[in-house]
Amino acid sequence: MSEEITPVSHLSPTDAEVSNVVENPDAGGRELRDWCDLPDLVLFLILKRLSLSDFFAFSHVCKEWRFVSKTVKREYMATQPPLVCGITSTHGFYSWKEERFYKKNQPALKGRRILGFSHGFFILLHKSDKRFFSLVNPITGGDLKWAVYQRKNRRIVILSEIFFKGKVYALNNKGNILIYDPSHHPEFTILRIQNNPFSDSIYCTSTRLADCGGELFAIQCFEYDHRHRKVNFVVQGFDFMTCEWERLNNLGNHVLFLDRRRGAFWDDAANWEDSENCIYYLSDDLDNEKFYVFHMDDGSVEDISCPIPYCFPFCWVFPRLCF
Amino acid sequence: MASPSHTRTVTLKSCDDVEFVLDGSVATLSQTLVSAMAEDSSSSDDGTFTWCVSNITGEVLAKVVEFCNKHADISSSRGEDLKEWDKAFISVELDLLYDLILAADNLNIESLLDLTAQRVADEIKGKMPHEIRMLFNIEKDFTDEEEREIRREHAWAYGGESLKSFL
Repeated sequence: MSEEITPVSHLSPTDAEVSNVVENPDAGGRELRDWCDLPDLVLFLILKRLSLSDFFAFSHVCKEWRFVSKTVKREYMATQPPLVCGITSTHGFYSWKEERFYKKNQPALKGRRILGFSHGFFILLHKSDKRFFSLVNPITGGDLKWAVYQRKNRRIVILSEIFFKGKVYALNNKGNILIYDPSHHPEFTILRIQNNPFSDSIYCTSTRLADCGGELFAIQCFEYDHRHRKVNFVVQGFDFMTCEWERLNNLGNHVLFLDRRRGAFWDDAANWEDSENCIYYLSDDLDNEKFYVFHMDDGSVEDISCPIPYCFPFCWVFPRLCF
Repeated sequence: MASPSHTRTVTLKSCDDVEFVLDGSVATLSQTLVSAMAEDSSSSDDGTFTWCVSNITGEVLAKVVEFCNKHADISSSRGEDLKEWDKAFISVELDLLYDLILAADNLNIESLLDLTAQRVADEIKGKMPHEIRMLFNIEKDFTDEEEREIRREHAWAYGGESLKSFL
């Protein structure tokens, strides 16, 4: 703004900034306001206050508004909480912030089963030939890609694997981390770990790896009695210097999202709400239309309903990864 | 920078020569005025400062001054009361809203920018693009190519169904 400042003594009407108000001769001297031509700063401030659906409507109004929305799309999407992807008769996304269901035809899902969501894509398994899978952007439906990879050593039991720092990191049932580079070496190298916090986990229903800010984490879910909400989560951070897992009792201002299957995602919830240090998770219970929040500080669990009939919350879809 | 602006009074002059005298502390809500006064500190002997706002009429400037006076008055500017006041203040015709936006932008008054942006956002909420265009008298200026792109793009998002239609 500072470049617009003119010392008052030098300001004369001829120096006046060009007004956005134009005279409309047909309106008998009445002025027409050109809403398309609002200052960019103001358009940003308006966009910031819109929900996902209104954001799209805004971007389809006129060229100028479309241009501005494209410019700030990335920043805007970063402020949007993830959507719950539900498997229903029609696929769609539930926004619990807006209490709104986005129905989305997914032709790419035909004959394929969703394995999860990762890096902005649905991972789909082809039902007819299980050696094939597809990657599909769940929001745009585009960017269909496919790849085949056959693991050679079938005796290894993998609990969880993620793509991390350009390689695949897998955690096996013996607590070791296996690493392979899918583009060069389809063979594992084993990273031996000094301590093994996963060996004694008879109540653990799933262990997942997750990455956040270049660090590797493992999350274990202990469901003693889900009906009575006797659930506990243990989060470990991996120290590559000492090759040790270290238990974290606090996630700071981060929030974790766990899929029904294996996926785990970190998000900085400071962008979109007050909650922090908690874990949002989708239960394996098929008979409810809910998802849950586990609070790390006191171990309490609350539920959030996802009131779409026959909708089974399945995985989280992050708008910031899809656009 | 803050000390001279608190002690001086500021005269705001609209494009149709209507003058408003503001207390220095009220004028600090406008970043434009704060910067201008700081640059002008050499000639502050008489304690007054005059600023011409070239593209804002007296009618609009009166509203802006009303807003600044209210928001600078710390004793009345508390929580719910102020929210209610803001709500009543911003319930204006769209033409005036537009002028207030330009004035808030020109004078760089953050709280007024936020309030006007919120009002526009509230107007947009839940509307389809053609309804928004109709409301603000905006002409569709997309090329055929863009039009096709848009149709492909995210029509599902705002065409989506609110929960009520499911329950």
